[in-house]
Amino acid sequence: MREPMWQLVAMLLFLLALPALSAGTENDAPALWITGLLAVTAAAAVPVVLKFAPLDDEES
Amino acid sequence: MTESTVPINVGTWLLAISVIVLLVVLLAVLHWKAPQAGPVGMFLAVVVAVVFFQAPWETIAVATGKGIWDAVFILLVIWPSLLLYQVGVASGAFEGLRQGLSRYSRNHVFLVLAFGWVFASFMQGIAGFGAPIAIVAPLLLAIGVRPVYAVAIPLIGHAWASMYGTLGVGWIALLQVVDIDDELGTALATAALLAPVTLVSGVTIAWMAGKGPALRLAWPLILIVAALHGGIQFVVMYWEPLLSNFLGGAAALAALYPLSRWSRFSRAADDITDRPAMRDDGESDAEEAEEPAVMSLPWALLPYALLTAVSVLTLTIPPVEDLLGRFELGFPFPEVTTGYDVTTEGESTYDPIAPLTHPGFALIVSVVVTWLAFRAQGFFTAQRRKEGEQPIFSGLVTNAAPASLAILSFLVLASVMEHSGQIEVLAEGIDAVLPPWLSAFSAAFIGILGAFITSSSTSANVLFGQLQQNIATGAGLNPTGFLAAQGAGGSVGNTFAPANIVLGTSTAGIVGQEGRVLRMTLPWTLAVGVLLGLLTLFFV
Repeated sequence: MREPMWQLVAMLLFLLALPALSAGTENDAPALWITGLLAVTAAAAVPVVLKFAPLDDEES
Repeated sequence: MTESTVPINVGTWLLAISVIVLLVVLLAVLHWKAPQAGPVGMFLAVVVAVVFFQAPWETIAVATGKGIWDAVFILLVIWPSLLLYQVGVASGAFEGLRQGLSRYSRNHVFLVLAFGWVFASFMQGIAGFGAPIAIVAPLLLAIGVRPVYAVAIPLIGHAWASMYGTLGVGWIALLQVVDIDDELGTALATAALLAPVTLVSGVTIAWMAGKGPALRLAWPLILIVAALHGGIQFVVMYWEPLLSNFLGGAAALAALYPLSRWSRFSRAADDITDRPAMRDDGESDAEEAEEPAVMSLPWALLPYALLTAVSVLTLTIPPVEDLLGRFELGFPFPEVTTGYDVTTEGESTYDPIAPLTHPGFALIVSVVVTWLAFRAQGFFTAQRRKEGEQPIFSGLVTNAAPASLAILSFLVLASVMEHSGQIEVLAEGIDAVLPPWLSAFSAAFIGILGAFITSSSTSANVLFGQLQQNIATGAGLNPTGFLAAQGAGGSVGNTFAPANIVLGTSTAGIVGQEGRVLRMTLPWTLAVGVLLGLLTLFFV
């Protein structure tokens, strides 16, 4: 998968985390908001990982 | 509500500022790309919040959710802006624009000022939220401006307009969070502080276009436009602050036509040879052997005319705005607190977005109508024959995905800092060590700091408006000057806010060069901050 597609996936992860964070905190459902936080962590890690481990098919 | 007990000392202040220092170092010193620097800053803000500011993870979850929602507001501008840009590239609209404008006025100083200052300010008056940067950067590229300058110029050009732009949203936000005794006086003082900012913007942009000779050429235009911007904004404050910036920007835009008929601005400025902002392969090379563009100037301007028309229709006619504004979207968040009793109230619908009055709506309508019209005219096919395949959607993802990641992480970072008390420590720490006159001088810098963190003058006002009033009252000074400095500083701070820079680098096709833009706009912002600080002393 090319870098922009990874970045798109990361962006979608950020956006998908939003309803989980809202519903989880509003309805006192820790499992839901923890899932949301994990999704955000994974999403934010993508560009950092790509910086230090660039994809083979990408120009630096 | 419980009073915050967060300790204000050197240690907590250094911890809070560390996030901002890290961002600046990563972007401007180590030349990291914004989508990479943003998440690292975000992670540090979370670590500082949890470990040192006693923020529970649930508070971090709420802050993160709100930050993402804040970013959605901006993403609704950036995605259609970038789509409009890709449609323009694939249809040859930018080439049509460049060729058409060079017949209309061949003076690069006039064109750079017209797009980068006057049109960017006008767009800020109606659309805002980064749209002027995202829209103007490719227009400047089309007339031969270097990419980094194409981003820096609209950032500088639109800065004065952020406070009262988007029909006064920054002012509305300030009124929401601060109980202002003298509303008119504060509005006038803010307008008085912003008037020299637009003049400095015009002078700076002319200097970029051709240094001293460009200034000697453009000074009548600069004075006329600055007087219209600053003068009309100031005078309209007596009647309706929400329309002040829009009317000033519209008057200046209208003034461009008679100015362009003046031979001073219609003929090429060939005697200006030192042109820092312009590409070396400027107009002359392009003119010699080029094929005619696939579309004429009026067609190339269609999306911007549509954008203006839809924005004016949906935002300046109260019954239409009321009707369209009834439909709102938002997420609920509960009240959260920290171990230091930094409490953030719950909201049944946090910062609802009205999609039909959002600037992104006008952009989407413009893109769809433009795409249909260009398709019907065969511009895409003609451009494909001329330049080969230029896929719209893969180009959109390539530019928009990294820009979106940067904006999401910056806004989450800002939200985490706010919910954990880091922003409170930053601002109160500055206040605690400064004598009253220096507090007044630094009021604009607090506004600038707020805009840097949040990339929004509106959010900066929400963050620091009440604090500025408290500082003034505590120091026994007139709050009018502090609030005006907050508004003006928040407006100017947009110039070097990372998320705003990313908006420009994405549509200028130079994602990853945010640090170069930052190094260009940072000194300007600090210099204007000093000017605002000195002027603030007259109002306190």
